[in-house]
Amino acid sequence: MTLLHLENVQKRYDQIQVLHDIGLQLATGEFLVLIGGSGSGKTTILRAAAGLERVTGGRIGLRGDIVDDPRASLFVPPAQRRLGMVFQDYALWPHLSCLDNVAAALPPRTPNRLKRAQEMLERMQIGALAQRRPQHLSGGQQQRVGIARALVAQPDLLLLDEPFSSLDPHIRDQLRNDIRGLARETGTASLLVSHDPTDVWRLADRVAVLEAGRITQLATPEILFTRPATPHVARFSGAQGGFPAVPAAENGASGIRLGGIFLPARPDHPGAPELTAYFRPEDIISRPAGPGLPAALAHCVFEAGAWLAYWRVAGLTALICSREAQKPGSDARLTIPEDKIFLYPHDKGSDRYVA
Amino acid sequence: MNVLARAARLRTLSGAPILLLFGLLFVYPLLRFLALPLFPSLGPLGAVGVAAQQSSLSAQAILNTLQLALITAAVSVPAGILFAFLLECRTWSGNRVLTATLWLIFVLPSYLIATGFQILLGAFPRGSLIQHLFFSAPGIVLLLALKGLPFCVLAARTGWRAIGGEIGDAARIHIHDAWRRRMLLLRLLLPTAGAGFVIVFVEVLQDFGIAATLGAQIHLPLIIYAIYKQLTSMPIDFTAAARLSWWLVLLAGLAVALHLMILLRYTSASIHGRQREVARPACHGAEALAATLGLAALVVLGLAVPVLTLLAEAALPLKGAFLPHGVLTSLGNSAAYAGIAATLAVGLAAGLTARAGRSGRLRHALDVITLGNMAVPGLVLGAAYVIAFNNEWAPLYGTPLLLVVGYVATHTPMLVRFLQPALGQLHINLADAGRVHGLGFPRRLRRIHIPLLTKPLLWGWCLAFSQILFELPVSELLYPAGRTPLGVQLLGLDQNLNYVTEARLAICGILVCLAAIGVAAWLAADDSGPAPQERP
Repeated sequence: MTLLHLENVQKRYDQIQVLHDIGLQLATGEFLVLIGGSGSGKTTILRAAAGLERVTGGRIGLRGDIVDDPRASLFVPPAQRRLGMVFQDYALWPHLSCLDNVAAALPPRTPNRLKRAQEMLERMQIGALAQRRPQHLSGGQQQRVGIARALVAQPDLLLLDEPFSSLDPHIRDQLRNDIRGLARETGTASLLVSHDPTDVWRLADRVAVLEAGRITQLATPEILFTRPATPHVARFSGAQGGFPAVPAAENGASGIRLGGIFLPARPDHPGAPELTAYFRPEDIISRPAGPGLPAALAHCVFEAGAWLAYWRVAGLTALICSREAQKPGSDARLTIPEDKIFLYPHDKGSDRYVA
Repeated sequence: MNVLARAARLRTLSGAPILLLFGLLFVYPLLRFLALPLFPSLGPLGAVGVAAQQSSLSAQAILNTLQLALITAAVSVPAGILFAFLLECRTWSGNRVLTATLWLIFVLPSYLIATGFQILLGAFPRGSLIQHLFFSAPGIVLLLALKGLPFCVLAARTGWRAIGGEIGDAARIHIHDAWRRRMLLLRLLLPTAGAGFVIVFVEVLQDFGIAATLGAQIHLPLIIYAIYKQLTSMPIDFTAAARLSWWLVLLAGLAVALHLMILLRYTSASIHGRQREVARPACHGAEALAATLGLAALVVLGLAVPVLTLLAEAALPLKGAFLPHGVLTSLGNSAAYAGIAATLAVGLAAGLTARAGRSGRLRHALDVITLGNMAVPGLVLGAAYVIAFNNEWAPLYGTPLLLVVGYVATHTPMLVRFLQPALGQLHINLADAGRVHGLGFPRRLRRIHIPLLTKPLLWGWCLAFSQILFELPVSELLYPAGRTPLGVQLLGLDQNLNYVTEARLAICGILVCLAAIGVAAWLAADDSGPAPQERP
């Protein structure tokens, strides 16, 4: 069942169009991650869903009812949307204790209000800190209070605005697990905004990638990884690129010419005269001899159980990085499985190499 | 280890001149003056004099001052909070006008605002209700509230900035009942309102311009003017002045302590995390109408009445020259004093702020000093200088030097506060990066420091120049004979009801200020083109 739906949503600030025809649906209990760079519009979508921003075109529906439709002059304020929201900088009310911060999110006549708030804090493993004020807590503890506040009223939709970005890496991992666990346990649908790929792999049922106010890919993490729709998504999912390539055919096989060498590639690549190629370090196979791109080792580093080798290839200005189980020799031939090469039409204005 | 210890010792020693300067300009004169009630022999005349005869008058002055300060603060704070709300939380076409109006009210001397109203309302029929209201305590409250408003808005903006961000969003989402949400936001605003209240309260205690014009005209005893009278009317009684100053300092000190307590207790509310910039909703309907009416009232009362009245008065025909020569000289005197003192004060403030940026202890000390300075009115510092620098080993009283020193001492703390945000952005790493990459001091100065600091320093200079040009309390007590400053001349004309000459002189002063600001704006003009290339 669809809980939240955005239909051709547009948002304009003065002369700047921030969102272009955004269409999105979130099912009950689903975890959707909105991902994109700075200024891509991801936070605006979240704030529009929350009712903190009003859209300038299209409409937003929640639980089957329209909550924001500028054409019909319809707008339901945030407090009436019955949502929970977790903020990047916690946004705890500094003059209230942790317990009161959580209890404040429950209507005044709720039976056992304080008890429920305390129980929520216990579930977030910070019950002992209930009487402290937020400023006396660490960042991770404050965010736990923020999550407790967002969940205590048992909303069916939880909005998370980069909730981990202010936290240390190990605290992020703990909180990711906690949020995923709580969302599953309570059947709460979640919409999380992030620019951290880890959030996608650890949390998402589906991912929406935003670029310049448009959704460029809406898919499961698996699809996102195996079939990135744009160079941005390819980079985001760990590919290096874009290497300049041209379409080519050899012995009846279609492929590309990269650094002057023919590499087989999927025939469904776009028919553009110039292409950019992306591939992941772990997909590159290096052999001492044989077919492939002749490469000379520029340098290599040991990183987290493997060697990252940086290869210089004639005809390419940027180095190619491969992930090796053993320390590589000084020369090699590099091949890449054809389904692991991602090709896009070359855009001189926007493309750049990112390893 | 030895090297580290030596470096630490050098750092400590390098702070010594600052402490020495602080001791010489603030601690020694103030201690000596304020000690007079206990040790009258420290005074230049050694007189205890007539204070006892005037104790009932002093008590009345204390009571009046306290009442006026409390009422004015209570009036200013709600207005300040509402204007700050417009500036921080709403997109509104009037916001630029509002900002400019608040700045102009801040810069315009209180005694000129008072004079404008005095002239205008003096033209109403004698005994009319409006005259009756203005030439009494409500009139003084109106003027003081207008002058206090910019400070209050400044304080309230901090609070709205915090609430306008994620903390406010959290309330909008999680608290369903509107009244509970409003109560929570109101509670969040309380520290800000408290800070605004304290700031206006202290400003009222210390405002000499309104006390010396409208206050003197309606014979309403106020502490600040009573101190002045003790120091300038025969027989001069420094001890009584010091005793009254104690009241002023104690009241202001208590208020500042309260302000510090509020700041310490509620810091988290104002500096909570990183506030993400969110789009501000536009003003619509009734809100826009109320905002327009409020702004119109502020522009009319704070600017139009005083400035237009002065202009109209200045245009009235008068026999003889446009301005008598002696009167015009005061403008030249003050322009020279203001130019020198503003330059020295800006240099000192910039040096102190930059130095404090490298030392947490010094930064803390500077915060305490600048806040502590709020508790000491210029008039009290001026009186302290009369005693401290009027002896055989420091015979500075009556010289232009002491007047300039007085101006520098009273304006440096304000400039430190003004420059702190701008100089704070000049992170020490920027200079270190230049040093590491081989830029010598002259190049660092030319390529890094000067381009980044020109604008804030020039604006700081303009602020100090315009305030010193019209400065009154320190001028009244320290000006050298035959070199009357502008403020003293204007007050003299006001008290002699010579409004036409006063208005003409004031307009000339404002024009000099505008010219100085224009030159500074031209020098600080932001060229949005590419950064200048360094010559090879």
